[in-house]
Amino acid sequence: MVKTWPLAAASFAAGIVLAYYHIWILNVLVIIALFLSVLMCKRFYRQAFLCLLVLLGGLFYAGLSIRDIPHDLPVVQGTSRTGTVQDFPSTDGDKTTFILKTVYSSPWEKKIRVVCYFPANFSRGDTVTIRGNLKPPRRPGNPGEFNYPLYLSHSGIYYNMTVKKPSDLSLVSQQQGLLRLVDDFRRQGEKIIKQTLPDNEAAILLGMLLGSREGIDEQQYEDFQKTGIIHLFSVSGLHVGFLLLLMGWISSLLSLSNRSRFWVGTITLLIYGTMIAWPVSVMRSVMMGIIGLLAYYSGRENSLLNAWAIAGIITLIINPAALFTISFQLTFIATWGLIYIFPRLRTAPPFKGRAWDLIALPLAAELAVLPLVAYYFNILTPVSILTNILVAYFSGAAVILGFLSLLLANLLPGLTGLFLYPAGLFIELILFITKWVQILPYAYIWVATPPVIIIILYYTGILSGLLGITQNGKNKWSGFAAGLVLFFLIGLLLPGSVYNRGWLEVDFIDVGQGDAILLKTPQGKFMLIDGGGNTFYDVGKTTVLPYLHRRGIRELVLLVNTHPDNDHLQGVERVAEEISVKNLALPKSLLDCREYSTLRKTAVNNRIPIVGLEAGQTVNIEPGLSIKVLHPGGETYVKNNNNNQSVVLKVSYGAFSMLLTGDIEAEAMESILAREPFAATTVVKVPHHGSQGSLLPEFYRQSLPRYAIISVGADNLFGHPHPNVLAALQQENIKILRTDQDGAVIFLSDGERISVKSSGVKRIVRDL
Amino acid sequence: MFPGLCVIISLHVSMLKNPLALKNDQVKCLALEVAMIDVLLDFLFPQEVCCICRKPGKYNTRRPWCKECQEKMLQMQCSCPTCDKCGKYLENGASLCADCQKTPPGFELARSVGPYNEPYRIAIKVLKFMGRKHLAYCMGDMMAEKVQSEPRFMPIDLIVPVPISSGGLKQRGFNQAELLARQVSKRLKVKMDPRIIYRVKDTPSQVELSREEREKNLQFAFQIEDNRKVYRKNILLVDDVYTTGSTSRECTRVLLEAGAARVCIITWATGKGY
Repeated sequence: MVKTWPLAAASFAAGIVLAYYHIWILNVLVIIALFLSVLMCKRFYRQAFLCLLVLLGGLFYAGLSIRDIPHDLPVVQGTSRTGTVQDFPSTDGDKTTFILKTVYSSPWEKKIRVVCYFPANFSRGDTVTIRGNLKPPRRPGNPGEFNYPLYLSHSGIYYNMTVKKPSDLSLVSQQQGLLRLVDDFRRQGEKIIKQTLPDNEAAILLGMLLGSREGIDEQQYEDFQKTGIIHLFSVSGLHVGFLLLLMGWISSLLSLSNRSRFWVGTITLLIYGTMIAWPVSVMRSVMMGIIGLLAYYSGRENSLLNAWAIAGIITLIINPAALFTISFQLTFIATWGLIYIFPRLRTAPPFKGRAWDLIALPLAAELAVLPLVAYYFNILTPVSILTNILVAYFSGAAVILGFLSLLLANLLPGLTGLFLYPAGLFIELILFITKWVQILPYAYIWVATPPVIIIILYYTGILSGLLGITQNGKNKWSGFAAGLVLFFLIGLLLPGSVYNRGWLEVDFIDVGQGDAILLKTPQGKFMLIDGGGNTFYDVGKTTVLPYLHRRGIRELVLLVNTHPDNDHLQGVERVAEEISVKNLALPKSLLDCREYSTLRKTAVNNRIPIVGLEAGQTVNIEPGLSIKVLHPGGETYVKNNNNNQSVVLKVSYGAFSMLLTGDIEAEAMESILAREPFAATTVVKVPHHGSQGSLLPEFYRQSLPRYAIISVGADNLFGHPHPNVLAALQQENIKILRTDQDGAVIFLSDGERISVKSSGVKRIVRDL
Repeated sequence: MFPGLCVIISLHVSMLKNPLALKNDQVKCLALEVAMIDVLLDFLFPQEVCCICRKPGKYNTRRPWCKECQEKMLQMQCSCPTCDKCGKYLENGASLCADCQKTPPGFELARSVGPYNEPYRIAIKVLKFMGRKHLAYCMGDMMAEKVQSEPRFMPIDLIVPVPISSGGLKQRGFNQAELLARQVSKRLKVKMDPRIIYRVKDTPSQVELSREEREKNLQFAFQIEDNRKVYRKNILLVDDVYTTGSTSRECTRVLLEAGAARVCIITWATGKGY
């Protein structure tokens, strides 16, 4: 029998989904179907009627409260806004980010994400006036990339504001009242923990206690992710459970009555939630905690599944758009795994006992979140079951000791060390485990983003497997369920090479200012030419590697760096470290230059052979696909910089051909033309991001491209691409595609036809 | 909203002060509040299994157990003879049990709804130890019916629950006898006051004690708060279980000493006698 509240929660969520995606035809169909089922089936008419009603409620509620991001939000320069700071300003280096709740009436400017280019020192609840540029956040340039504007819009934020100078920010009034008391409590705790423990231990302990990511070493954070214990950093049921335990213990010491226990527990949970600013996971676990306390106090039977569903409905009523955030989905699905899958998993197999319980608990959670983690983070972590078993007790102990030291830091700061040093020891143990567990074979596997439909099939499989369990322990639908789950796993583990067989694919990845070109051969081998680069953040880690992971690429047959400028090299260095690379190719004339020292070291460590490329060579990857090296030819130039020594490749497959030109300038272009006359090409990557120095109309007249790609960052400091270059290309009647405007540009060709796709341009298929 | 809240709070205060002085509409108002809270709790915590046999189905505050359990209870009520005085279930055909023959109790009569066996025992366990307080409604109703079916109980002027030890109160947070008495008083439309008898000494649990130890344990455990309240009153004493009768006898003794005219006893379940 299906319980009432989970049914209602599912219907409510379904209503929100229907409203969110504007599937009106589906809406009508679903409503008609439900209406018919209300009329037709006598046995379940109550439940069907409830579903219908709640679904309609969700539909209308979400339809009224969720707004789509408008496409024409204007940029406002040099404007000032006053409002209260909503969350804890997070400082990263010399940048401070926070969310400002303004008194503006326009729905788009009620909440603004503010980035200050200086360390700003104030706290939540302060009222500030800021002056800066108001700009909608940039849409993702690459397919499947994390959609930041969408993410922000789910919490009602549509604008970013950048504040350049400290003088543009002024404090109007300070936070008052209870909030201030709570924050002082938190600050004092943070201060003492940071003073007592070494930096990385303190950051991890604070992350585990308060869910803050500040100051956690990136490498360690990644290790946590790869070993499947990243959930330690999201405050959840574990913390609420420990807090209630602690409060229950204190209340029984004080011999409080039931009623006082209820209030002590509830108020503690509310204060704790306020202290960490109510992320969704906390909202869920605090609500479930309070429902549990209420059941205990009023003498009712508490069903965790009902409490879970009620918490879900309330969270969605507060913000229906939360349904589409990663944190909502992960926290609710993981909890569902623990309260629904775990008890069934525990009793299902013939072998039972404590040892099996220990394995079944993380297994249940992993089974529940697996498709979501694969979908959002492209990683499968079989090792997480082992890590969670090993880490569970240490992390629990660290959290309990952490809570006690937070309390002590405010009462007897001198004694905090008593709890903190053991907590630090436990954290060191956890770090040790995460480091060594990764070495196991198949500890973690990068997987391609699974299509939504097979995720749905997976959950159908899991659900039918659990619902099919009959009274005598046999499963009616075990074959069907196992089939669906297996189908999902096979689909997940397929390498990226199986898609688009027989087509050559070239992706010009949007890496901002810089080049990164992914090439898939018709037989399914992958090449990467350059990897982007940026002085502000690691493009390789944030953009290029996730791009490769999303495609399920686990091996590159060839990694090319055209020349050692940062906007081409940085990502290459990162990729060479993280992904298995068969060959690394560099321009022969620059093989020994200083800029390559890091890359050379990585190549030696990972046993990657380095190849020097020069004009006249051909790269043989597979029959039918020809890759010719056109440059460098050993010439020296007047302006003898790295750019002019760039590797230039000509890729041809059937009637399709493409020139990849690196950053060569006019001089080098001339020498390429002089070396050999070349036939018409389909695609040219405009050299040096369309800089003025690389303008040679003769080059385009000879190569006669149909498409010109400019790989360039929006509003870059160099003024690329130069208007003269654009004019010259237009004059030759070449279709220009720019990564800053069109996002990633993807070409597909089977040698006879060509298809062009980008987020700015709809897919075009035509004959060559 | 605020004035409404004030009215409710003042009602609760006057109920705590002196429940006997409450006017009729005040009682109705409080009952309405409780009913509303129960509906809310039923909504929040839907009961999906029978609280006695855990058979799945739709249950609520007013119907916490299934039809089968209800029928089983009714069957057990009339299946065996009881002691004429204390209501204990007897196996032989005697009219009085051995205890009542040896030392006649002070109370007029004691009756219970059923024997302290499966469904009845589980119901008491669920109420007392699992804290399902709403079970007291149904159980109280059945106790009131029992009282109404026995003319010898009448007349009744006042209903008094047996007080709980402070240790039990701390552990459980409520007195199950008081909850039952409240429902009985509601059904019989007779005033109830939980503070007429109070414990002067904290007695340890009676469960593992023999009869003599129990009697000794309970000696001078109870006192009457205000003799005037019980003077010349016909009193109905309410408790959850009647095992040896020592608690009831001790309470009866103090009540009669304080000047009560007559004491009758109603309990949910009774043990077996000889």
